[in-house]
Order: sequence, then C-alpha cells, then structure tokens
Amino acid sequence: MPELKIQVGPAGEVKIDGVGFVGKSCDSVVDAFVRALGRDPSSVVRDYKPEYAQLDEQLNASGGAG
Amino acid sequence: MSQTLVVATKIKDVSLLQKACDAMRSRNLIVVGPQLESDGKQSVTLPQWHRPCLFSCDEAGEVSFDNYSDYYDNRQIDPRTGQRIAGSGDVHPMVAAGKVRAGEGGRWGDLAYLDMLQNEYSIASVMQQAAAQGYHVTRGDMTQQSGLVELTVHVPG
Repeated sequence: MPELKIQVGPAGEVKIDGVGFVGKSCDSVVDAFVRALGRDPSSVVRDYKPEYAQLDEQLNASGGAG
Repeated sequence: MSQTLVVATKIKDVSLLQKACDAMRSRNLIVVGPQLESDGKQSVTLPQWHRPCLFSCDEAGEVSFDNYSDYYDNRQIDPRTGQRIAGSGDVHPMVAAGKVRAGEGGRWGDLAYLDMLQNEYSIASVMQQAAAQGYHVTRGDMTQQSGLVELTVHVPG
C-alpha cells in the first residue's frame, strides 16, 4: 500500500516523503496535504526519487501511462 | 511516483489553531486563545509571553508579535512563496545573513513556544486532511533529540 511518510519538525516545518506510488498518482495525494498546510503546491520544491525516472522509462517503453 | 518535499506551514485555519492551542494545554502549558480581535486577527498568548502573537488566519497566514528581541525583520512576505522580499523593509544584518532568526532571544517571549504551536498546527493539519480523505494515520512518538514527530499516512492503492 502506498504511504506518505511525514516528518513534522520542532518548528512545524514538514517533510513529506511519498513511498510506493505508481505513476503520477502521488502528485494529487501530496498536493492535497501541501494545500492543507497552507502552501501553494506549485511553489514547493520537489525531489523526485530515482525509481520514479526508472518507472517512467518502463511505462514509456511499454506504452503505458502513469 | 515517489517524491520528497519540504513545506513551511502557514497558519490559515482558526479551527486548527484552536486544536494546536488545545494540544499545548494538554501538556499543562498555559495558553490563552485563540481570541478574535477587533482587527479580525486571532490572538494567542503563549506560555511566559508578555504579549499575544497575532495570526492573520487568512490566505497570507502571517503571524506578528513583539517579544522585545534585538533581531527584527520588517520585510514583506511573498504570499505565494512565503519568503521575505528583499528590499521591502528593514532587517537586522544578522537576520539577513541567516545567522539568527527574527525574534531570537526575545525578553518578552521565547520563540520555542511559538515553534511548538507551529508544530502542533502542522500535526493537526495533516491529521485533518488524512481524516477528510479517509486515510489511516499512524503517529510515532516524538524523537527526543531531534524533536521530530513522524506520521505515516496509509493511502489505499
């Protein structure tokens, strides 16, 4: 099951780590939490994990979409 | 897709601010508020603070306070990014250099309590959003050394 690992720091700063998502499904889930924290999702810097690029390549190769 | 991102929380929601205050009170800390002020802001007096912090609780999500600190920052905040706008106001050189935070060392209020309120607000925000989506959340204990609270949100695949 996909998970969000969320760390809330001592001053309220939040780190969100999406784990086990397929394709772009992570975006909408994470963005809802970013908005709930009062921020604009488009203004947040994201660090995509290497496995995302690998998965995208696999999807592209097989003609699938994420 | 898997990704990592870091978010600086803004306090926009009065009901979540109330929950954050309640969470602090559950730790036997004396917190007064939130109370609606005549200017529409919500005031919260934190433990050992002489004056209340004022929360706009609007789209800007700003907090203002005077804790009698030497370190000031009157630069405007970009509502989109939440970052201070260079040249838009006076700022203490040490704050501008990133060596101290604005409000650090305040004689009328310890920033640690404001941080604690922000921490509780963030937790309440995550819990509320997860509940709204029907997601199950597992909450870990606060790590004493780092002060981090870990929440795991289980998202149905």
